Amino acid sequence: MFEAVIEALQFDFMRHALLAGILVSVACGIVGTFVVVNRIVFISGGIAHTAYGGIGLGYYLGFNPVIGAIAFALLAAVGMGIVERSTKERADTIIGVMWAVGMAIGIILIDLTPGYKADLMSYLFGSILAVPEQDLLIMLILDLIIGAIVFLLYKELLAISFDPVFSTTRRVPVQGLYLILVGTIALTVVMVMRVVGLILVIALLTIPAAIAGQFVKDLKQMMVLASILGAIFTNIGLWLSYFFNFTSGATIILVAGLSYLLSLVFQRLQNRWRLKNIENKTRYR
Amino acid sequence: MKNKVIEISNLWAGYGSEPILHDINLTVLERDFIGLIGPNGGGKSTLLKVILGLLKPMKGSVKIMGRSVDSGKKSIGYVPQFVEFDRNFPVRVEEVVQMGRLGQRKLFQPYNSKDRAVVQQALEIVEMWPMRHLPLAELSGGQRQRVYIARALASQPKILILDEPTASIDSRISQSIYKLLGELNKYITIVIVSHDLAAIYAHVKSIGCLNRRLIYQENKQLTRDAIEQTYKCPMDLIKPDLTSVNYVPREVSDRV
Repeated sequence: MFEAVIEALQFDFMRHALLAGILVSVACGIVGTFVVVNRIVFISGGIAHTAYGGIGLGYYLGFNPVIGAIAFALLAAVGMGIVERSTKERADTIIGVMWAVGMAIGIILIDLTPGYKADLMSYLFGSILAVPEQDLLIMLILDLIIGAIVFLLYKELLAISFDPVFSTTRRVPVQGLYLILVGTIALTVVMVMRVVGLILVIALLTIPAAIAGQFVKDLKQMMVLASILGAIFTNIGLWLSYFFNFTSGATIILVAGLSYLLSLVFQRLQNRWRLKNIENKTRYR
Repeated sequence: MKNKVIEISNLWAGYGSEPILHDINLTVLERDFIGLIGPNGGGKSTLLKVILGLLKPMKGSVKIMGRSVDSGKKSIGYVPQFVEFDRNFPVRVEEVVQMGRLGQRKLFQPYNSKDRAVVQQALEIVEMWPMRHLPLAELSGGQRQRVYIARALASQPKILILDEPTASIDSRISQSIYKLLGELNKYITIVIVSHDLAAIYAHVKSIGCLNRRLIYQENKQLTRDAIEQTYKCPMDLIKPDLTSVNYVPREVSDRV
């Protein structure tokens, strides 16, 4: 077992994959925390799937599909962010329509593109085992950008997440900050797409933060714990997929999902144990 | 002569093309302690939104400290309606109160030592300083309300506006909140909005009745007309602990 691990680490692709897992986990931990506390998981899903339209455009016009994905994700983020905050229509309906239309545009554009689409599946299901060194650098830079945004705007982002109305009365530019927040979600989504694929992005964005949220006392702790959990899940998932020859993205998500289930059970037991303690104390007093 | 802190004249406001507030006139003077009562749907929260700059008036004007709402709202400390907030939101007491300082700090500017001093003072006033590191989720309803009051005080306001401050808090704790507000009223003007006359009656200096129109006198006189114009059925409103109050109209007290 141990020798097999050493052997696997000889391969560039394995080292790159493990590193990529850690790099995306940092972004997911920070941004996912805001996704979870703001309850905008649905918007994040919408952004991820609309990005597929950009991938289709990249194929059709012959440029790097990742560039198309970033552009479409950012546009979707701004559009959905405005809809969520300012429309009197049902925001979730409109976001659902944008989500579906974006994905459909991508599919039609790919239909229109002649020839064999080599790595199309990798955008849908991820290709963490094929991350080139250059992409690792891009991930690191994105991590730094996201980290800097959240560090510099932390007091405002905390305030608009906790109480947007009060923040408005204190003359905080709530709408603009909200768009910056969904913009960072868009960047994260495209980055994570390389690892677990469009379809599973939401899981890596929300599960680590959701687990962390149950055990922390403030938002900073939540970001740190979510990042660590994400790194653990991606690494365990990768090793399992390596040894059992499973699809890596799906394996990572299953590890994360199972951990979420266990954390819920653990929290339930912890609450029951606390209640029993309180009962005992009052009984013997 | 006391200064006018809020001056509302001929105000019409509402949503879409439907005005909810009809021709509101109200002058709030320094160190007033006003209770605005009225039934649900009578326009209480609409009036608050206009004063807080969250809703533009259709007609008429609102002046805060003699300035427009947009610059005058800096002088207002707002304590929102008690809602069961997201218990899963991880945030500490001190962080919540710091949000009151947001207007004083620009984007990218961290809170400084003055902010920390003001936050400490605000938490001491509401007697929550020892609990500053606790997560908000671990506090009781009354303690949480004190934290929200401290957050409003951290803005160093001239005016404190509270929306249903003691709804869903038990009456013993409500009493302590009103005692605190009475202390604060020595140097801050206070406006309370409530649907429950009985809850606030003993604590305020004057009362306004708001049901689309506003009826307000500077003393605590409540005429039978005012109540009946505000509420269709005054019987709902007049609770037993008020029947001894002599300015309740004879007709009403006879029926209780």
